[in-house]
Amino acid sequence: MKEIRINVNGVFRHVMVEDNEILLDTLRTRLGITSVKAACWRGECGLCTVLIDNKPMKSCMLLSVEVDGSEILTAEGLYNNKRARVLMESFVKHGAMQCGFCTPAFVTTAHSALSSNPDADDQEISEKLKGVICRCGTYFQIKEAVKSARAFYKDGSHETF
Amino acid sequence: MNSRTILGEKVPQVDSWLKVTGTLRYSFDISLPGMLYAKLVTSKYAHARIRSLSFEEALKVPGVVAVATGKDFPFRLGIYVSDRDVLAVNKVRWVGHPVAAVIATDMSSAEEAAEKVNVDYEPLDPVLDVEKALEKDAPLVHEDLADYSVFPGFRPVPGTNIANEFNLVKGDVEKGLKESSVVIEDTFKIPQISHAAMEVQNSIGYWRPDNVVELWSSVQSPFATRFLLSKSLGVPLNRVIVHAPPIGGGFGLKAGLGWEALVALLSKKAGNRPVKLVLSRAEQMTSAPSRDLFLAKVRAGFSKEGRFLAYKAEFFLDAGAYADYTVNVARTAGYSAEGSYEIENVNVKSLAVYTNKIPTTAMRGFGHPENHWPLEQILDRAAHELKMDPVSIRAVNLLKPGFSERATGEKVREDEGNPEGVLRTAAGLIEIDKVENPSVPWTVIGKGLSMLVKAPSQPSNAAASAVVKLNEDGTVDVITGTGSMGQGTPTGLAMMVAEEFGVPLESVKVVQTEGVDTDRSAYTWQTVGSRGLFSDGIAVLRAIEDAKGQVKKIASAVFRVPEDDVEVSGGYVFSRTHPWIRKELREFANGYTFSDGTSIGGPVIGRGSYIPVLNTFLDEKGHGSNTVFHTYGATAVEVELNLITGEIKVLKAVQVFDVGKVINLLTLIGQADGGFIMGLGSALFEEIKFDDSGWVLNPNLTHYYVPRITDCDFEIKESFIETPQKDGPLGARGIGEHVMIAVAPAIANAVFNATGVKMNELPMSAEKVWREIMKQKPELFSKALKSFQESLKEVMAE
Amino acid sequence: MSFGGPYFTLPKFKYLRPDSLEELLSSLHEHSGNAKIMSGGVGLLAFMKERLTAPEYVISISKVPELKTLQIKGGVLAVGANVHLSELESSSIKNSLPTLYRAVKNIADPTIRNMGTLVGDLAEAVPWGDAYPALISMEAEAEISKKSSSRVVPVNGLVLGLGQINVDDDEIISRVLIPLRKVRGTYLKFANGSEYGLATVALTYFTEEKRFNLVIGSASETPVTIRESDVDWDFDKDFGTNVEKLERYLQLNVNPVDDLLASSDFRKNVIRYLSLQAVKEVFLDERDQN
Repeated sequence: MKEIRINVNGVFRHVMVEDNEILLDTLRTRLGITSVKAACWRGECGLCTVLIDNKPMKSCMLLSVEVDGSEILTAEGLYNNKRARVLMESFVKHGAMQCGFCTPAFVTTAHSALSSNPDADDQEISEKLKGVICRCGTYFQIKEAVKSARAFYKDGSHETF
Repeated sequence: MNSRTILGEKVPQVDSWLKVTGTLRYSFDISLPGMLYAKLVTSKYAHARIRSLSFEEALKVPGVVAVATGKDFPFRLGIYVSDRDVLAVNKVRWVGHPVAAVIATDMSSAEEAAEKVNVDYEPLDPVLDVEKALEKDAPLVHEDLADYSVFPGFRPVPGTNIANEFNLVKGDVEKGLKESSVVIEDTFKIPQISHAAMEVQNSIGYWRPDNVVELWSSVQSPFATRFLLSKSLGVPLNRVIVHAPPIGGGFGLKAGLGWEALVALLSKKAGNRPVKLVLSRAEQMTSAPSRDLFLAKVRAGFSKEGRFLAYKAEFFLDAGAYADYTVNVARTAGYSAEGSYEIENVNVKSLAVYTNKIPTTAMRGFGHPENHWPLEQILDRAAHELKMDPVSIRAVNLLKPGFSERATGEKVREDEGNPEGVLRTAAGLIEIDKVENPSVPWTVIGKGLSMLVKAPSQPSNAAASAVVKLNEDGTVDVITGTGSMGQGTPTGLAMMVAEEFGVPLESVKVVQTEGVDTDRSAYTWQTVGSRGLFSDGIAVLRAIEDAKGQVKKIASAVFRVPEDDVEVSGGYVFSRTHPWIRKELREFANGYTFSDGTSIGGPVIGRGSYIPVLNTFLDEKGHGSNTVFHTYGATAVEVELNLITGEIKVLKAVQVFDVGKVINLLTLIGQADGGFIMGLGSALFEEIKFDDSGWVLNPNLTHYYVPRITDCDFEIKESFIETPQKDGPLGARGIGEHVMIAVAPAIANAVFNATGVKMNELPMSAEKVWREIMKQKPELFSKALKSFQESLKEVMAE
Repeated sequence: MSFGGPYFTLPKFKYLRPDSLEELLSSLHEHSGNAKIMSGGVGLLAFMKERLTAPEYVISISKVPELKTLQIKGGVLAVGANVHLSELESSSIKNSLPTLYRAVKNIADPTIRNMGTLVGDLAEAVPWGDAYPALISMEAEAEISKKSSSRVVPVNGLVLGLGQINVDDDEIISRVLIPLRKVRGTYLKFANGSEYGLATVALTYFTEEKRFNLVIGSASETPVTIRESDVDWDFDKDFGTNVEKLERYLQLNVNPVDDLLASSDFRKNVIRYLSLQAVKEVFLDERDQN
């Protein structure tokens, strides 16, 4: 077992992990962060996406030992981020979810996309989100939700949805 | 105050904040103290006898508690035909058939041990083709078919691979064909597809030391799960508890009995400890059911005015190794084969056939994506031959509510819907007569549409019930049976309750939003068939009436007015004739207490029940009356087809449905758009590919392509027509499946209208389309290629 | 592919994370044959989850500073083994190495590109992957290092077939070196029904030297390179004639395989389409420049 030091959703933690332990399992099983889902365990579906030092990554394809020293953000933590909260509100108002299984991954990835480039056009937003699958097909609503939240990421102006 | 303000609004689902934060708990997220993990060992052969099975090495792996095999569980399961074993007993019937299960304290040990289970197989000849399975000397998938128990209405044929046969006969189809001016004859094929729900099937089984069997599982219909478990395990219904949290996608995959019997039995084997099974994506796509492969041989005849005189069809549904719902899908595809049209003479034979491939089950649309694929293309082809347009030929033949009769003999009620309105709205929104010029000469733009109609496919006693409780502060709890898989039914029911009591939506809680639990929920038959809002809605409205009646009785004593003078609405209880005599509803929630302390009445508990009205079985000719409502719809598309590569791109999509009454506009739009995308997947990309020995070649999301956000770069419009359903809740009908039924035929019709190329097979991949262009209209290809080559030469024009 | 996979768990191994290139190469030498290198890890984890590989040691390069460098020196862009694909999505690379940029943009999705590395993509040895044909087309080289020495070889020829790469057990690809010449280039991918392309084409045109490399991936076990001399492309003649020559060459010499993604005749059709699109894009732009 090795000790890794990580900041998860704003909390510093020392966690003992196996060499071959996958970050997805550390988050879900050891730390009880169940917003991080999985549907393929192979890096295809994107439901395990988390932010590692503000970059979206698929946690099912990462070793926990590799993220030692990193800052990890998931949907539970993003709830307390002012901008992400507005993004979430936009998702809710636009009905950008059905079964909800992919929703945390989309919120997390979209937050990162808007944070790094609030001026992103529709094509860039779609490109940034293409790594996450929604089988219920809420893509149209997700695009609307992300576009509506864009202004807040850009200059703090809050569109009344 | 106008009491009818919430209906028709865009209302976010009541559990939305749980979803965006990822705090909604699915079965996937549930863990119990002392829980063990199971891993399956599955067959490498499509058809083989199990000579021997050994697992001593597996038992030596630290953490392993037990290894279970088919011999441990000699039960047979099946929702209609008991053709399924818990684990393979003497033989395996498909590649992926579970033969053993390892139970261990952690997943790592379970996986390590699973590799150490040794199975010795004696391969048998597999039957991998649905038509070959019907030949006289075909290997039998189920030699013991005669011994299986069968639900009434289904007819497997022992000694063959036929799991069910359904026939629909009306008039004299040969005569009709003879009288026809135009006869369209062709063979159509749809491959197996995967539901690809994002939450894989997962179940926790706990055979408790008190012999109560408790399940937590990702299922759509916990009452059906409970019933099937009770029957197959021999445990009384009230000693089986099924907890069904909200599910991460169902689409029919999770409609019946999944892995619950297995985990319950594994729990018992492991010394009465909870055991969790989670399928990997590969197992989900190979060991768990897919949708049927559909083969249709059809002949359709039309008069010179375009009247649909005759429809003769043979449907072969490849049901795989166990037929599950597919026996009913075959039956349904058969009795609804005529779709939205009145056809003079009909003869449809629909067979569900066993093969040594992945078992199949229900999927969204239940036989309708299948039977609409040939039907709706035939209309466009006939129109072309008769020099009519696709809209007119449909208008001539549409069922006329209040006048027509279906081939089953069922009368089409006047309030069933407005199919012509749906047709013309769709045609208008896509501007079907206006076809644009393509941006480059090697592509072509086409428009096409397809009608659809579907009723819930359910037995005549598919009931629903509901309980409404008033809380002391005037809030309302609603207890139903329909689960949550993202379709928004709980929110829709909550809106109905809010509307009927005249209270804000926030005051209403539909308890089942966060999961259905057979001990604590009201019975509903199953969460399938687009029946939820309709069936549960009627039960809920009746429960509200019942609750109001109880309130009125108490209020009558309190106000000292006759009961029929009391009104309950807007959160108040008052005298109709003396409206200044009124009190808040909450004062009656727990009986009523006078100022001197005397209390009368008691807690208000409204109850409502529903069962389909005047539904019968269908006889051997397919005649009877077996539906409760029909929802009509139409999908129309504008596509761009690249004549060189065969690639189809959707430019515009239109979805139109007669929903009776719009309850929640937001979830309706979500269903229409989401259903289109799911339909797009099966239309253009999705196909489970097999090799010659029955192995699945693409059991992953890389090579089984499910549409992504980058595939939605087009405009979509939705339109909802309201022809109220007289016996529907507030006039509403269901829509959950209808939204994907007509997508593939609409696209095929667009291709046909633009090029004359007939697409008989799905998916319409670039390669398939290219091959059909080369076969049917090679001149289109060569012209396109030449224009492309010319465009390069123009580059150099100096 | 192992049928039962992917497994949820990884096989057991010992994880090593050296702090320097020297330590890395030492470790690799010591455990040669029993160790696998982890750069991004996406490829390695995928193989391990299928139980296609189960090394005793996994040696991570994530903390080796020498392998993180992405720099231009001596007319060459050096991409260290630990440079993530997303780092190559900059506008300067878009302008100076357009073939590479577009190929990278076609790899998986942006999230995976935050994790995967260019070297890792190469080392996965999937001949129809997107990076390999693009690097061949740009005439890139690979620096292969081991404990006491290193060698530089052309990237072209490094991948011998699926999973087979011309690198020894005690060696790693430490850097990819891409010469910076005046180029125009493009990368086109036709995917339908799969995440992988059934046909891919990388074209790099060296404008000052008036020559090009048209590399066709996804056609066969190894990419096929077509040079202007192969088709007798004459830059002084009209485009139409040259295009005809290219088409004839493709027809006669490029015979793609049949596989899960496509049949050979359809593939051939799409390869021609993409090749012509590629030359149109590259030479059309070139003309506009003048």
